[in-house]
Amino acid sequence: MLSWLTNLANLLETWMLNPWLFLAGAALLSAPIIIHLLNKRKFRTVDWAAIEFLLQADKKNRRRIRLENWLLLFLRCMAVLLIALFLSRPFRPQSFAGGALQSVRFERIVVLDDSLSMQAVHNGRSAFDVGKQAIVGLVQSLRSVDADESLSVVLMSSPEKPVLRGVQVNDRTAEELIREIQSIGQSDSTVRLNDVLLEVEKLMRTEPEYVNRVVYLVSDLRRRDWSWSETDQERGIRESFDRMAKKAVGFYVVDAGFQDSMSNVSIAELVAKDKVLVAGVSSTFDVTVANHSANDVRNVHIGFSAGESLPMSDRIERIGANSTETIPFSYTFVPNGGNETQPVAIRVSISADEQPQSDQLHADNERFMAASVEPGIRTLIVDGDPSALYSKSESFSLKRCLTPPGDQSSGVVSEVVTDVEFDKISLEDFHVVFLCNLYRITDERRVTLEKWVEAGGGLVIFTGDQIDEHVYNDSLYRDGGGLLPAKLTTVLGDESEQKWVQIQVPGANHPALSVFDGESNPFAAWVKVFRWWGMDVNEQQQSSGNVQVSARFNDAQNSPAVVEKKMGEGRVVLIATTADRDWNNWPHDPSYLIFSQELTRYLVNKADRLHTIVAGQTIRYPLNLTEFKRDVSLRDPKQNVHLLEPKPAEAGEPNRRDETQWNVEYRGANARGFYQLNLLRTNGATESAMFAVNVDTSESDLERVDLAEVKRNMGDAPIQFVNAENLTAMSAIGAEAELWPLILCLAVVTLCSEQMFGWFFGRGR
Amino acid sequence: MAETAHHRYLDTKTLQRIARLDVRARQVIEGFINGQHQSPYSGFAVEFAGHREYTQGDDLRHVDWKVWSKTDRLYIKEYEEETNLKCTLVVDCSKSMRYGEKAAVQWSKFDHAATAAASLTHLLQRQQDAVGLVTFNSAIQSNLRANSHPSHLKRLVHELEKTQVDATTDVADVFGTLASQIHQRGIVCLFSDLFVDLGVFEKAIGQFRHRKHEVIVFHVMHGDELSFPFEDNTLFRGMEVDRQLHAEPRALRNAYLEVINRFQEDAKQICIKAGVDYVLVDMRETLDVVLSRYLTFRQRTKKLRHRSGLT
Repeated sequence: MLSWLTNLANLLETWMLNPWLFLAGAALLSAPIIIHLLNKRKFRTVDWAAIEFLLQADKKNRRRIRLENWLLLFLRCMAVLLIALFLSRPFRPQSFAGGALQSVRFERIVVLDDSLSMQAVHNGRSAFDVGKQAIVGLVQSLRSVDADESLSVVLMSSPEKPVLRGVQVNDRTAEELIREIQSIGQSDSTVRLNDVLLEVEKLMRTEPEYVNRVVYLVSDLRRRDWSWSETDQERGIRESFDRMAKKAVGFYVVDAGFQDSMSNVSIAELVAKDKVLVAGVSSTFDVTVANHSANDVRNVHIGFSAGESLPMSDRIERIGANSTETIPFSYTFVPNGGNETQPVAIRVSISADEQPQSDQLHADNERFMAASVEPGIRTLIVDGDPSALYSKSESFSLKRCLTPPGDQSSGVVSEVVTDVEFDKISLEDFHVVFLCNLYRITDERRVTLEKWVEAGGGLVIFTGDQIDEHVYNDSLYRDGGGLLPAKLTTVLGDESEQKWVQIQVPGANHPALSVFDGESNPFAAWVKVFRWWGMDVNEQQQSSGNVQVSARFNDAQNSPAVVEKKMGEGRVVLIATTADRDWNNWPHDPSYLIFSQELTRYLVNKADRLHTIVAGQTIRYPLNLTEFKRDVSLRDPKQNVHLLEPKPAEAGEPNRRDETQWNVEYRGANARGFYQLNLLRTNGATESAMFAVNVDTSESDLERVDLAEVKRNMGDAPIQFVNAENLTAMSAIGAEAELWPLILCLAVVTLCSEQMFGWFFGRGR
Repeated sequence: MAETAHHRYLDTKTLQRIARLDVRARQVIEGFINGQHQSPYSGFAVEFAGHREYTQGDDLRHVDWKVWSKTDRLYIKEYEEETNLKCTLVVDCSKSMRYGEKAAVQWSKFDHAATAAASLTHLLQRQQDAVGLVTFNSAIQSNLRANSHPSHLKRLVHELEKTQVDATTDVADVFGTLASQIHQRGIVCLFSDLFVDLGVFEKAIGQFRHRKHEVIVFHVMHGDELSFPFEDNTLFRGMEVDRQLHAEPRALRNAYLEVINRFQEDAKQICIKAGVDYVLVDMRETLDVVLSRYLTFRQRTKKLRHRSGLT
């Protein structure tokens, strides 16, 4: 019985606030009947002489009286039912829910879209201004309302931190509130509607149930945020909308956008061609400019500046409708003489001043890059056969080829260590590591090496006579699971150097081996390889593309000369012969220089993308507590300084080295521009890291979503769409939406007619 | 009441009620007299009828000497019903006449009828007329022979006082018996609420008329019965019949009043048809008003009848 009642109450909940009150009222429906029956029991007895006449009169009137009694009973039951209905506060099911009897309390939750596209300007006003004005209008109209009104304002860029939270709206606070609303700044970030909805839902849960909530979602309704496809996440959005709309008394999507089609020119991309930016070597940057409008744009000026240097500028003649143009900029970073990475701020901006109407959103006309300029590609050469004598060590030629002596920078810096030193050195600072004829690798080193390669390091293994194939095969190859691309078999070739083989590159276009490209390549003929390690390449791995034989010798077996393997983000290249002239004459050949330089550049994959992020993302910087103090501050583009509190890295976090690694995080990077993180070393020296925060290019497309599509997506969620201009007029939203005034009227009419009929019937007819 | 009749007469309450009745009766008559400018003794039964020639054996006292002196003939003055007027008061003491005794002012229809009867008795006695009393319900309960002795009034009133009001009204039997019992022509005054079958009532009246009695019907109706003033939910229980009705009086009032008015009108029409005087005694009016109105009316019609030669 009780569960049946509960089910009924749940069913009623979809269109009334207090179903239990209604059920109690429905039970009270029996009251008039009981009163009627009790009344029948309570009577006066009169001994009546003229009973015959009375009976005659009764006989004539019985039917009429019965009808009148039924009508009165019906009216009384109706009145009780209507009063119960009135108390249970029903609402029109498509748009209302939540709240209770005692409240004329309203909480208005305004969710303001402050994403980049809201900065689009039309007729001198931005969509953001329109939205703010709508909220101000709402406050103005609420200040004179009698009910207990409170206002919360949530920005979509940071929904977890409401700008205003449950602030009372009355004559006293209104001015202050309006000032605060006017002062809300725009952000350059993007919006994740789903996250916003979840946060707002959380906010709604914190208030007591009986508060009537009205939610206003003020947005410009761009297609980027509001066009969903049928994926799980989108269904989640729809459910969120549905849940909230049912919980709220009213749910309104307020359109602050502009109906006219908008034009916009934006920088779509700023990329460096090189993975590592090296000082002293010319670097190329591609700037892609997009035109998001239905018309061509002419004469777009592009400015490029790096660091403190004089800006360069260029011009694009014409960009077609809805298309992009790319223009390259070359720039040589000035070496600072030291061996440190040097942060350089690169800023690109465009202007289409000749056609201002073609660019209505200015915020995406800038793009930033926090370039980490290296003195060179950092390479580590591990010499397995070092020698104190000039030119006798294994690494001598390699080192000279990578970093030729002289003033000119080759773009590569190299460091040579012995196998013993190698065990202790940190690999983090290096882009490429060369292992030259290394006898053995400790297990500990192997593990760090594997991690380093997987994180994007480039490893080159030169073989030689010192190599213990058992150690290599067991530890490094591990049946194809280790670093080594192929299994070493035995040393092949002619020890007497009477016979030699030559290097052949079967597939053309290998970036590192382009020196051997083409028919009858002279370099291929000149390089003589006398001895080499025979290698077994796993067919299966080869066919899967994981392992690739890049070059072969022209011996009878066509032995592999260069085998490479992809491993995580990085690569391992195994070269069958030596780095020095022990087994070949390659180091004397110019091709060796080209090969080593190209190979180094080919293997660099540790592009430092972490420092250029999209607005709204978290700035995260790993902090080694052994080297740095915990005093960290951040200067944002508006030159405000924030003190940050480093936190220990979580145990499962990727890139975590050990417990000394802490993280610095900053979540408020909503404005575009450069953020500078100032660190303090334990020895007192200061150091800084630079982050560039860019706007999301997807915000540049100002195309509006089709409203019909949004409504379709919303399904049957009780959500109403209003224009920002109309919001002020709808101040009493929520109150008027409930049905109780109508029911009250009905109840009054019923009661009045009951009284009237009662009087009319009892008038003594 | 297991006491003797003697004790009952001396019962204080009874005596008080008699005294009250007496006074009431006198008041009514006095009021009536005050309202008449003529002598009350010129009432009915002393009407001059005519002359006839004296024959042997006639009482000399009745000879009209004035005529003899002028004509030298002996004429006897004849009076109609002279002092021999006999009036029989027939009072209904059925249960329905008890209505009103439970009201705040305990005054039943029977009380009212008895007062009216006593008043008439008083009036008639002062005219030296003989008054008899019959009370009845389903049968004749008591029958006091007509007598004009002054002490008769007391007996009559006492008789009324001790009347047990009970049982149903049965006019057919009672009136048949009564008509045969009253030999002398006279006036029969019926005091009743007439809650009987009107057809039977019509026949019963006819029986009296057949024997040349003059009949006056005093239709005693309680105010409640005429106006139906009830408001609350009420259970009406029949007094003579075992029927009851649970009703909302306000809803029934109009219909009831319609029925009761028709009944009253029917009763009146029956009386007129039978040449019987019908007097509605509405208990809301004071008795003297009702009686004087009727007596005045009666005197006027009597005169009219006399003048037009009708009897």
